[in-house]
Amino acid sequence: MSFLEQYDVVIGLEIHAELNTKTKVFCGCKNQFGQTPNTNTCPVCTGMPGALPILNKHAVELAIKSGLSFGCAISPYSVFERKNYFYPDLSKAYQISQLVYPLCVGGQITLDNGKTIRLNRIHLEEDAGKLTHLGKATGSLVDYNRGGTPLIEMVTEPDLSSANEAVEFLKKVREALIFEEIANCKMEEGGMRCDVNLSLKKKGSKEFGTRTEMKNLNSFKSVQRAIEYEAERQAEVLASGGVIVQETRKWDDERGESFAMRSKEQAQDYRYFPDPDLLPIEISKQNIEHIKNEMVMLPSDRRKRYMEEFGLPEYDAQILTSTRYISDYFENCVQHFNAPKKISNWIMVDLLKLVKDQEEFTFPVSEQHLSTIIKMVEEKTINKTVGLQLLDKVIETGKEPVSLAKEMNLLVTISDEQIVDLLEKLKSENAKVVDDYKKTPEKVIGFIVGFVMKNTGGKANSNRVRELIAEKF
Amino acid sequence: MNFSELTVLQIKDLIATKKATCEEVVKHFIKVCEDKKDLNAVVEIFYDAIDRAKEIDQKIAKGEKLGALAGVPVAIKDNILYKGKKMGCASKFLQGFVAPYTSTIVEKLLKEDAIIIGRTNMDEFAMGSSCENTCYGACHNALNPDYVAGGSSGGSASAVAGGLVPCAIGTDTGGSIRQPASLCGIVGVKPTYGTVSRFGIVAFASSLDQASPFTKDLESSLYVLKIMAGKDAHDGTTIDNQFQKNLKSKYTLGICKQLMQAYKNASNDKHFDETIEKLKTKFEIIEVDVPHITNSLASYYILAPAEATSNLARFDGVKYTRRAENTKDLESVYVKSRSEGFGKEVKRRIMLGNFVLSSGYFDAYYNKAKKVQRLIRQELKEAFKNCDAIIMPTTFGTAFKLGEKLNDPLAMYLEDLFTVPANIAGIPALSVPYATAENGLPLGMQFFADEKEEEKMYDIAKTFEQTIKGGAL
Amino acid sequence: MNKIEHLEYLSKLEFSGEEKEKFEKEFENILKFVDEIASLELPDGLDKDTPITLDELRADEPQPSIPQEDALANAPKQKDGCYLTPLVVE
Repeated sequence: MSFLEQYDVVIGLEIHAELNTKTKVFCGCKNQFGQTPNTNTCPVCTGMPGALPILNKHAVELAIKSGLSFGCAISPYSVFERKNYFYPDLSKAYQISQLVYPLCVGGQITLDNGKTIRLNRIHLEEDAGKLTHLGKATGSLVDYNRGGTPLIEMVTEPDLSSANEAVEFLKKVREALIFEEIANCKMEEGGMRCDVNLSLKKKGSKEFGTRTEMKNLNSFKSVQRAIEYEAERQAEVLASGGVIVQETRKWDDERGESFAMRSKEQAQDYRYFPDPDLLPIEISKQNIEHIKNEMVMLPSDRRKRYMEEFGLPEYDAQILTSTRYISDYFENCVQHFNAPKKISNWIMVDLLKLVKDQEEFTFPVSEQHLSTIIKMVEEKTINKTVGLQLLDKVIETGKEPVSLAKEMNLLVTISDEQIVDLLEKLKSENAKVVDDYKKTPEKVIGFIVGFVMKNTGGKANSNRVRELIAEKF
Repeated sequence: MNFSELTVLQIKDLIATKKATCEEVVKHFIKVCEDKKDLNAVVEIFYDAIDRAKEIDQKIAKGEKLGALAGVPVAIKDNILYKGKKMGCASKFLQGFVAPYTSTIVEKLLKEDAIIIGRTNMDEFAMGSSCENTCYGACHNALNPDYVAGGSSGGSASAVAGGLVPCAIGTDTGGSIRQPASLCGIVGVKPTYGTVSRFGIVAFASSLDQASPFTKDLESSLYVLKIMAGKDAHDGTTIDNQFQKNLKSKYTLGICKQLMQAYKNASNDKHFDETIEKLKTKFEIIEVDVPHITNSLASYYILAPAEATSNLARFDGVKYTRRAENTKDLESVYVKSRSEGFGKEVKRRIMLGNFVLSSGYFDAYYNKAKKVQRLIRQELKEAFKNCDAIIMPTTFGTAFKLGEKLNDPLAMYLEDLFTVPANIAGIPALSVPYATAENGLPLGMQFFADEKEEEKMYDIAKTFEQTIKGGAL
Repeated sequence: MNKIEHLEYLSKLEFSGEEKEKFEKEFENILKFVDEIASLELPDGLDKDTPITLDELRADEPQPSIPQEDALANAPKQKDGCYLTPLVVE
């Protein structure tokens, strides 16, 4: 880190995330890919002559929702533009994107250290198809199944200053997008990608250095390593008296280094202009309100609520908000039975261990059934061990816990009279207990309760037993 | 009976009343197409039209409900897709292309039991005003084969004028229907932008293109136009044009000061003035001021090439168009295929389009032209507060000789001065033959109306025809 | 970089020497003609077109795709259900 010490690192991110829609952004083909090549296409997404794009309303709504999640201003007037360049994965030789009038403008995300990272914009655009390179002799294959998938592109201001900050920022973005069900952000499948713009600035100076761009990083780890590598590389170039060339670099995760991509002989000139096939759209206040109403509380706000309102420890709050599913599940349980800490324990200790795929799962028991079991244990109509047995059985059969417990004969079925009979029996057989109880009840109460439990096979309600002891002794 | 002399409505009635069979009508027109092959108007006859005709005859025999165009032969311009049929945009580049789907307008015509009988010649990718820029060889004017038919829909115009078909569909981006209609002595219309779906029509300039019919008479013209019209889920720029009937007993015609000045500067023709004199008995005639209307042409030659350059980028030798031989890499596939595939005029406009969109010129040209367009729209809207239609010649003069303007692109562009403003403003316009010039060729009169005022425009044209009766062809 | 050559690059077109000379002349004439737009003085407030509302957009409901053979029917070269191009070098 020696060379780097003299510099501040300046980082801006461009993040692409695939939206959770049923169909592509400009045609009715399904928003899914990976099937047989070119079977999920139509005249529109293969760019056939005469085909026209028809904008997906839900894609616009999700893009707006992402803007609302990060405090962006939603543009009342938004325009789609054509970004023109020739590349085989781009069926029309232009990508429909946004430039002058994006859907969302501004916004910010606050890091844990309190630093605010400003967003420049979020816009909606279409994804390209997939290329498979077979080699010089054969060529490359083009598959448009993915072409036309809706993407949001989120552009930050150059406010990040380290790999750690960049990764934290990305995690916060990902968490929010998943929570709001805007995007799945499956990074290993390319569902969320990140371009990193990086330059160095001499400490104390106001002048930015020349920046380089690293494209298509699709894991937190590669973002981390690519940033660290690039900052170090630039510092070394500068230290040896060299200059930084403005270029696009490709990160090679296996080799742990980046290299400059074949530089174009001519500077790119995308010749953006408004797409005449798509009229500008007006986003009304009502539209925004409607979308706002569909939004949920974000994970950071939920954590705060769990700690302050429910009194959960931070550890619990973290785990319970790690996905929207767990968080919603937990909150639904609390709705059924207001014992947040108890529910939290059950979820964290007894339920999560049942889950194999940590990324995508649903708990094998409904919120209502789980809360019922917890309530039975807390009200001592069964004990915890029996509760766990019952849980297994509920998972196995899907049956309602109370009736199932009755069926299995797990419920406390000992009547007051039976308990009183037992207490009377004890009194007559063991006079010392009565005396001891009168002097120091706390010392013998356990013994008396134990006696009743032993003689009822553990099915007596211990609370009730205590009450009756107080009465009879 | 010579079917070639009849209008669409007359043929439809003959068939519906069983005075002629659909089969004999279709066979007649196919015969005329074959006999007049040298006109180069119809470039391919669809012989399966005879089978379709027999089906319609069956329907009639069985007394089934008939479509509104039952048995009427219609030819389509070579840029309109009809699944399974070749479509080539008169370009070497697209020879061999078979339409993989059917355009909305062909669907609509077929639904009304029309018979698509063949495809017609045009200027390559609809760029031109003479139908000489075509890989099929220049189209001749049916009225005098030494003269051009006009363009770009010259084949459709000449086919109707020569009795090869009672109706042909063309497209109009800057006058490509009205100018050839005028030069061939028939009726041609361009509806309000968005009235007719563009889905399945190869785009030239998406924000200006509209398809519509060529016919011999006004009544058939409106009849077929209404069948083609309608909001389309496959074209987001379509509108719901209700063809409202705001008819009056007496209309006010506006003569545009600026356009008249341009006309007088370039033409000694007396027919226009004489006709206006005659009209004063039936119409109120006023002068209207549309200050920027003559800038329409320059804006058109910025906006149309800009859109075209992007629309035509998909033709790259990879997906649908011919690939050049002996290419060494991807770049040479692009460059060689396109350089060999596109004709001179198309290349000129692609280059022009890229110039006005390129970095450093975009604001001065494209953006400025867009603003001029909006201004002209406002000015025309204002003008229509004082008049019901604006009247002017469709062109400066009659058809010119083949080859006469071929080497002077700018002179060819000026042909469009009177037709282009309607595309720029998105308003309806209609060309009606009204006089015969000294060379024996027809002159066309053009009417502009406010948007969605097609009914009124046709009603005015009808009154116009009645008033000048005797002078018309 | 010469203007025409830059446009050739953007257009993915190439002209022979003779063609280029002729083209250059024609092009200059056309540019002179469209230049009237660049020099026009215009009033403010001409920046936007009439928008459509969110509710006019397409509902997010799947429509059938087309068969692979239809998608590839006009491809000059294809392989394994894909369009085939010369090797794309990044």
